[in-house]
Amino acid sequence: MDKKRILIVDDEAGVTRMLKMYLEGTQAYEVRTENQGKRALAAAREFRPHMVLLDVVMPDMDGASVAAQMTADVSLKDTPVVFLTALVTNKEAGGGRNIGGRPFIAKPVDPEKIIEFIETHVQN
Amino acid sequence: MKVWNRLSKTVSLREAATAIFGLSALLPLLLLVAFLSRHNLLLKLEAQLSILAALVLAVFGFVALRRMVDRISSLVRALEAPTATDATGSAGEIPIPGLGAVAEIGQLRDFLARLLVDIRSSTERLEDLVFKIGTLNETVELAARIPELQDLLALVLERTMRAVRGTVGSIMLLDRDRQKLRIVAARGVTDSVLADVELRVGSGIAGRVAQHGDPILVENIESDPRFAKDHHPAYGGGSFICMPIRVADRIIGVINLARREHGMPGLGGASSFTPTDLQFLNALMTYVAYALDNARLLEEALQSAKQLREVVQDQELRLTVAQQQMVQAEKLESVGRLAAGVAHEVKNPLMILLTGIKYLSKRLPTEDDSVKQVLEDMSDAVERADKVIRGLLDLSAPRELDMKLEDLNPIVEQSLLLVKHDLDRGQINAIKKLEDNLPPVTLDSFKIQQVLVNLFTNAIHAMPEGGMLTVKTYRRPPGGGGADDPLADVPTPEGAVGVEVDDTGTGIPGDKLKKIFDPFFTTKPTGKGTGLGLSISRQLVEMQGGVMDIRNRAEGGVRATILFKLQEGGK
Repeated sequence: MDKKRILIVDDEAGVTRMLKMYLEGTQAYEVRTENQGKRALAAAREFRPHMVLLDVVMPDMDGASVAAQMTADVSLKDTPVVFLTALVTNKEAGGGRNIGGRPFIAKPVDPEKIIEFIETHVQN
Repeated sequence: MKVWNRLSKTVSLREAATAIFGLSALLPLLLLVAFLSRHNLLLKLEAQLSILAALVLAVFGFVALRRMVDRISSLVRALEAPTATDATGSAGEIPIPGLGAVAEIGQLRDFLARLLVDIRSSTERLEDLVFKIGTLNETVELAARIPELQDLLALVLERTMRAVRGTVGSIMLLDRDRQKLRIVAARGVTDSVLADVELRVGSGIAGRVAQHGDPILVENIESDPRFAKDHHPAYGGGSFICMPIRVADRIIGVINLARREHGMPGLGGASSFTPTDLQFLNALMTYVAYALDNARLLEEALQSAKQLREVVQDQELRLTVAQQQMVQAEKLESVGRLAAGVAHEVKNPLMILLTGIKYLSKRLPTEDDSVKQVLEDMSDAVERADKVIRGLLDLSAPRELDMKLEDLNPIVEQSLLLVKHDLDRGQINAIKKLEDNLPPVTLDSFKIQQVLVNLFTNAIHAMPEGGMLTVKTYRRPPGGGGADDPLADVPTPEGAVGVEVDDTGTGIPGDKLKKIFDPFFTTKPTGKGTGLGLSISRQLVEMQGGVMDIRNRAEGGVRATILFKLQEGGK
């Protein structure tokens, strides 16, 4: 079975490295990481991921702007994007809310939950 | 000349009369005898008879003159010690032997007696005037140096009574707002007699004087009809005077003086106040009025200053409280801003840690329990840190309220359901006492649910060995709560709806009770609470116009009370 391609965009290198290590360790995923928001679009066009995990607060370009670029791109507009965010209150973490219409996962999160999410939203 | 001067000082009237008689009567006779003798007429019988007759007349005249002169002398001596009869002239007839009564002498005697009386009376009046002027100067000078009203009043009254020889006196000051005169100083009567004396302006003698500004003199208290109604036995009989005390054209009070019927020693029997007394009082009151007015103004100013000081102290306290509240609010705002920044910086490392822990959990051998335990503890630590950060973010989160008219009972029921698992696990019995037909209140049901869950959770943690959780809802009538209502001092003119959460735990230590709403303050063991729950809960309640109270119960445990005021119309 082909591995699912996951693009992780986060300015924190440790986060992207750890997640890549964990997801690829399951042998089910191929992971590409990007630490700059403004390079995310090019990376997505090239990698054509099944899902994008997108940090919200990034210094060069925030996650919302990156998501908007993807929506505007014909080849990427249907690619599921999920926000990984630190700025979540207890109420918001209770679920049932979106950021700009897109689902989010609050950091820090058990990577198994990320896998659960990927499996729910990405079909082979 | 010196001899003449000495002679004229020591010669008496008798000696002077004798000398004058000798010159005016005897000398011509001697000249006549000399003339007749010269012209040899002395031997004639007619001449001798004439000389003899002249001599007899001269002797007779001399004796009469001497007697008259002696009477005049004795009169002069008598005038030095006058009697009543001297003054009236009833013993004015002075008989001269051979001449009968000499009218001019009697008249002279009467005149001199009256003159003496007048002089004595004038002297007395003059002395009295000098005394009054002295008193006036002294009183005015002292009055200028005494700022305290009571001392000044006592001085003025004492000096005034002394100057006019009053036996009873009082000073009344005008309360302009109430238009009443009140006694502020009195002498000659007991305090109990005058303690309650208060006169309306226009009524009574003093009231009339205060109204019109003209003094009133009553010569006989007992017979004067003006005094009849107001006659107070304290004044006795005698004369009475009431004088206005005036500053410019403003009457500030009156002075009342009475001189009892039998007068005072040294008055010579006079008991009535005189026009001089009136003039003196007028002059004295004119000067003293300013001093009295100033003293009263000073007293009022001191009183106002005291009240102002109290107001300022109260305002300073309020300001201090407000400043502290502001500092607290600023702290919270700073914490909120900080929280947002910290959250972002801390959560990424936490994410790395958690991902790493989970990775190691999968990769490391699972037979070693200690390794498993370590990894589990590390995972718990990350979760705890995450909770703290979320609590901080709650502080900084925008407070958007979804306010609607809601029934409180379903919110309570829902909140209890959310903690049901913890209640069962902790073997805690939940008792509901929800009043029926509670009026709905305007609130954000989700946020109140959060608050109630926080209170229930705290209560559950306070009863680790099990216990009882009682939740009660009630309606508080308009006006306020009963004696045992912890929020009794919160005014609720339209009434309120309240919820009480009681537990049977150990309660909150007394020294910590004041701090329970402070952010990060917690009584729970390390790791069991962030300390943000009550701080946020109270904020949420207050944002919706409610009030929250937490205190220990007398029977043990804690009671948390939330009150939502009803608006006009019962909502």
